[in-house]
Parts: sequence; C-alpha cells; structure tokens
Amino acid sequence: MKKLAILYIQELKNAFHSYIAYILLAVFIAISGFFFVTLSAHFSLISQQWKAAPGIPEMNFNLTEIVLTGLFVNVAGLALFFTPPLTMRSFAEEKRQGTLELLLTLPISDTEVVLGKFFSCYTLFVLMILPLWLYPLLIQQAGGYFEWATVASGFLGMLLLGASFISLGIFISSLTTSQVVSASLSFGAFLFLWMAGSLENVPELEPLIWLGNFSMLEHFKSLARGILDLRDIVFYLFFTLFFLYATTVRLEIRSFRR
Amino acid sequence: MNAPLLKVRNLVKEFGNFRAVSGLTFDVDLHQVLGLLGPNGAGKTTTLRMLSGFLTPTQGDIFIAGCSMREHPLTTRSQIGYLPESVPLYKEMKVSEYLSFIGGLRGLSRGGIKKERERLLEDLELQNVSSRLIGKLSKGYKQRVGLAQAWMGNPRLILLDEPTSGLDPEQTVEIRMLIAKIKETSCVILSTHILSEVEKMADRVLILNEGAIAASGSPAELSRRLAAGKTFRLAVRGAEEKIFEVFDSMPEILSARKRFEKEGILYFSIQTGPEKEIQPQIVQRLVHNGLELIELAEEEAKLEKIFLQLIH
Repeated sequence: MKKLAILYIQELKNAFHSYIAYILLAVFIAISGFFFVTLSAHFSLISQQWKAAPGIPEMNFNLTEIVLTGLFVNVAGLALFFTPPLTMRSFAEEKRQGTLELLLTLPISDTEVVLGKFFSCYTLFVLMILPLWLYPLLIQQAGGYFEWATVASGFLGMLLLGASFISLGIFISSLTTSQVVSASLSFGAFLFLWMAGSLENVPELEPLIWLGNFSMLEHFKSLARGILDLRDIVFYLFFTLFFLYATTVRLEIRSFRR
Repeated sequence: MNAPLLKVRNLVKEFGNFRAVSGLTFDVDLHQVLGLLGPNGAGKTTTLRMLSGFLTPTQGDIFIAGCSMREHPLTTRSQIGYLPESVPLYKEMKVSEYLSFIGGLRGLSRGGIKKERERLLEDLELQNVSSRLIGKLSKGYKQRVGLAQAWMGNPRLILLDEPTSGLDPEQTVEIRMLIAKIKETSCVILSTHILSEVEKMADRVLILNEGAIAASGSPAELSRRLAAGKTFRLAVRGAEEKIFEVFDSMPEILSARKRFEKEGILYFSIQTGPEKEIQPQIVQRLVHNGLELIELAEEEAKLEKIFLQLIH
C-alpha cells in the first residue's frame, strides 16, 4: 500500500508539472458552469411562460429534473472528451520514454502500478466534477427546491461513469506508445459505448443490438434521474474492474517493444 | 566457501518461434563484475531483462541469494538495481526527487531514503545538479542519475546494459571507476559489445552468440585458453637478412614481420604454434649466430581476436 501511495502521489505531481491538468480542470469546470447557467435560464423561461399564459392546465415543473438531471447528463457527455487526455499519458508515455521497463523491475507489483495510475487519473476526474455540488447549493441559496437524493444519485453516477472511462482509457494507453493514438482510440471507444443504445434504431444492425447492454448513457440516465438500480451500479463496477484487470494482464505479458 | 549470489539455470527465452536465449547456466559471486559480450542480437539485453525480472523466462530459473525469481518475484527484485541501455528517466522530475521516488518504491524508510540520496549524490558527484530537472541534464549526468537509481538502496545485484554507450572517453572512465566502486558492495553484470571495455571492467566474461554461451572465463584466461598461437615481440641488433635466416631456419616460427627499426635495433613480431615453448630456442639461435637480443616478450592475445574466432 505504501508503494501504491508513493506512485499515486508521484503520478499526480507529474500531471500537475504540465499545464494540461490545470487547463483540463479549468475548461471542464467552465463548460459545466455554462451548462448550469443555460439549463437554469431555460427552466426560468418555461416557468415564466407558464405563469404568463392563462388557461393552461397546472403543471408541476421539476427543478431537479430539468436543471440538475439535465446538467448531469450533459456533463457526462462532456466527460467523453475530457477523460482521454487524463488517461492517454498513463502507460503510453512510460512506454515511449522507456521508463515502464524500469518501473516494472522495481519491487512493486503490476497491480499496484495499475492502481497507482488509475487512482491518480481518477483523482483528477473527481476534481473536475467536484464543483457540481456547488450548483444545487446555489439553487438552494436562491430559494429553489430540489431533491438531494437525486443529486447524490447523479453524482454517484458520474463517479461510476468516470471510473469506467478511466479504467478503459488506461487499458487503451497500455496498448500503444503514442499519446495521440491512445486518446483517439479512447474517445472512439467511449463514444461507441455512449451511443451503443442507439443500435436498436438501426434495423440493419439488429444482430448487434445486444451491444446496447453496454451503453454507458442508458445505465447513466436512471442514476441521473435519481433511480438507484443495483444493475447499473454493478455494471459500472464490473466494467471498471474488468479493464483494470485487463491492464494488469497486459503488463504481465510484457510483449511490448519500444 | 560462500554460495554464489546469482545462480542462473538453463535460462531460455522464446519470442514466438524465435529463440533469443537458449539454455544459459552460470553463477556470479558477490563483488564480481561479469561482462556479457556479444554482437548485436546475441541475447545480451534479453538476458539482462530476464535477470531484472522485466521478462519472464520461457524455461529455467534465476536464483538470487538462493531465492527463486519465479516463486518470489518481488523479493528477488528488491535485491536488483537495473539500468537499461536507453537510460530511461522521468525528465520532468528533479534529480533528488527522482532518487527519493525510486527509494520509496524500493521500500526504504523516510530516513533510509534521505541517507541513500545523500550518499548517491556525493558518490556520483550529482550535488550541484540535485535540484535540476533531469530533462535539462547532459548525457553524462543523465547516465550518472541512471546509475544512481540502479544503486539506490544498495541492491546486491546491479545490471547495466551498455553502461558506457554514447559517452565520451572521459565520461567512460568515470563510469568505469563508479562500477569499480559499486563492486565493493554488490555484484555487477554489464553488457557491452565493446571488447576493450569488458577487458577493463570485468572480472569474468561470458561471450554470447546466438543466445548461447560461446565461451566464459576471465579476460586473461580466455586469452590464454583460446589463443590460436603465440605472438612474440623481439628487438634484435644485427643484420636484417641474418635475422630472417634464423627465423626461416626454425619451423616452429609460422611467420615473422619486421615492425620498425630504431637506432640500429630491429623490432620484429613473430607468430608461433599454440603449445610450443620456444623462447629458449630463439635466444640460443640468435646468440649462436652472433646477433644481440635486446628484448623478447610474449604478447597477450587480444580478446577481440578470440571473439571473432568464436562467432565466425
């Protein structure tokens, strides 16, 4: 555990040695803030329109669903673009520099190496989504009402989704020596997994409909709405563990060449 | 007698159908420097990668202080320091930060890391660059930092792949001196394709060819054992024709060549057969013919010659 912690801290330090981590964090937070502002404005507009139009039957506008669930789904989509830059370095750069050969000959297990890298990338991801907690607080300050349970569920969904994306991104990084290739492949894989649920809309692709079960979006939607389904949670956990294990196996094979 | 620090038994490495290393068996003692010598593709790097624990052997096993690398990979790896040929370093880290990082991963305590870091910065003369980024250092300094990380925690077995590759002569001498220092506490295995290097640094040499041991022994032993014949250096005062007549009259002398002449003394190089002790006869014949023998010395066969004989 001590060695894992040393590697984890060093990985985080390395991430902040370059400006990439700061830029990613700043841009992600800025865009998620922009989503919050536009969703809040949208909610305000439709509720004012409803009040101004007499004769329309009474409707229950749900602030949590329109603003916060919408925010979680949009921010999760944003993670498709922002997670590959977090994971692309992890193994690809080590392999390019040759430092992986040295790292793997130190008395540290392959599992510790994989977990050290996973947790450092995951910490960056958590730092990116952490400000999402501020938005419900802002709504509360402004006198709005929302459901904390839905916020917690949506946040849990973000955490699980991030863990899945990062474990897959790290695995892809272990397959190549190029950060660009790693990021591109990761983005392609994330996008496919995000959209896999749409396969059922294409009759020609009927034999591939089963892939829809792996749709990250479908599993995320219910969590973002505050529905805690154990199947969704197990799906994300299993997905994360599978790719962490696959990365460890990949390191153990050590067939790569620089 | 102490057991060898490193025991390698029937080590084999295959990449698909290609056998890079085939059945290496050898021992190395503590305080010994073993040189792996061979042409490109002989299996030196693959052997070092297996010894470092980076590659798993297809067959065979490696024992460090009696501990099997297959059964206890982490325990054995804690006794190894390794420097690959490309000297891979984290360029964005500072020298002292990097050494602390390696010390931590080697399981040293906080106090142990500090002590080792100070020792290495001093021994490798890195104090004045300790707070500089590794990426900004010269090649010679990077090589020293690479050696420092391999030596961090004083592991008993240090593996160096082509440690003097790409260095200028002055830096090469420095690395050679450092290896001599490391030898005081550890056992060193280094690979090289430069014969003069291995002759200067190694106590024992394994000559590898096509993944197998072609010959082994100390540089001097190898020279003696494998020399095709003996070469003598002669300095004689007298007429050149008469000297050559003497050489021609001796069937044991396979060839004779005049090297140069200086102040009336003629210098020759002569080749004889492998076993014969013919120095007394040469002296006797030359003196008998009224020639003055100034010098007669045997030249040690160069490892280069042996190396070429073995691999062709």
